[in-house]
Amino acid sequence: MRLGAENDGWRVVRTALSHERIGGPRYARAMLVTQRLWQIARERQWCQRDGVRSRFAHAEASCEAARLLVYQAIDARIDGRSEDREVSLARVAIVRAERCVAELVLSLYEDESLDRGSMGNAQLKTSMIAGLGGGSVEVQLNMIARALLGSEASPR
Amino acid sequence: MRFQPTETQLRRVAAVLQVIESCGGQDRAASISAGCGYDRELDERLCNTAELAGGDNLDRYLVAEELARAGVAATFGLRGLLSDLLPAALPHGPIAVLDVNRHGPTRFAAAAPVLVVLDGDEAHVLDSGEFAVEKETESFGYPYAHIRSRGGGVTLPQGTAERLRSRWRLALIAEIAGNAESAIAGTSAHLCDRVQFGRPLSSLQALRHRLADAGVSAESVRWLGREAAYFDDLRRVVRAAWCASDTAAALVPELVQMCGARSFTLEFGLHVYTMRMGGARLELGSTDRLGAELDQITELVESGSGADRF
Repeated sequence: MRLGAENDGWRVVRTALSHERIGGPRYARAMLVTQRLWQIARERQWCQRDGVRSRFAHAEASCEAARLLVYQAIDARIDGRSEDREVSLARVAIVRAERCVAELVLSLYEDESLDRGSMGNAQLKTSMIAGLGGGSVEVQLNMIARALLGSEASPR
Repeated sequence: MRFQPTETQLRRVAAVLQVIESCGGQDRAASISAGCGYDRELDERLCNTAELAGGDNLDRYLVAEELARAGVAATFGLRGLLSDLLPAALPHGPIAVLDVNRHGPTRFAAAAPVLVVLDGDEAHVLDSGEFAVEKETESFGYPYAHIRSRGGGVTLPQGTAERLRSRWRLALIAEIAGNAESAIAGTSAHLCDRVQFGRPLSSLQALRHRLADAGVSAESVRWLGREAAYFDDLRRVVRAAWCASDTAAALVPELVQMCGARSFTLEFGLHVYTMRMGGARLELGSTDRLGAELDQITELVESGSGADRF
């Protein structure tokens, strides 16, 4: 079965990919991990360590930025505006958030993250695939660059 | 919060651009900015523009963002965001803000007829006869001065200091968002125009990816700032401030590096945005300071003792 009209396949591919890229609210899971970890960090006195509170702020701001950029892309889609740039921005922000939270969990739990099923173990594995699903993060960066620089100057 | 500007917001932004144009345009604004000056005439005209009066917090935030994007040396953005928390009959001109627990110079203090003093939980408003300044060497795109002595001024109602500090930060976030967008646009133009080894720099993926990364950071600041302005909520503002401070710290050396040595020159113009971003993030405070504050707020919220404030 063919999807869409003949010779219109690229549009279908882009539409499908753009839905996949922002379809899973991974930032929401990462935010939940951050919030839970923040409570644990207080109980275990981890927040007294150098730089830890700033890293929590980083994690939370990254998750929240990803959420807003996803909403921006969805808003463009609902209005029928071009969403390529918005989707790519959102996707990169999601990957950043996932990785930022993973690094924070690992740095606090250290060797406890070796346990299968631990928060660190789960977040690491989630973040490792984040940059590949729905097109690699490098492809998203290319698309953002094209939006910023125009399509004339194609990469070599 | 909508992701598209309302008609009112579009009209306000258009009014900002019209006033800049009627006041000599971008060239005049750039020449004042190049000398770290203060554009009194532009500020005066902005204050007298009926279209820009009033508005909600997000409307005023967007005006501050637009002024920063345009690279002008006006203080109308900050004034707009503070205005509903200050006495109604303040003279036109810049409002300088001093946090007594910080020790750096105060932006626009030498030109300001009004000084807002934040002292812990207290806020005071002083007129120009109640404080003395010592001018600092001008740098970071704006005039700065140290406050050397000050009187008591008018004490504002309890709770105002916290909200004023939050709005001051919102103005700085808006500045960083606007400056970042223009600095990235300038860098993009340079990468397209500059040909090396027979091809434009913009064709090199190493640079394209770095520019795109900068774009994601700038977009993050823009929307975190706008959301914080929309909700006018202390916790969201601190979170957005953290992101703005971190982004400004990363973007300034990165964009200068991508533009090469010509970005050191006044003629190139990148400094208007990069130096101001640098100054704004120092005024905003380090990510360590802001991270500690966000942690304190979070702890208060979780314990239930800050529910009415955050």
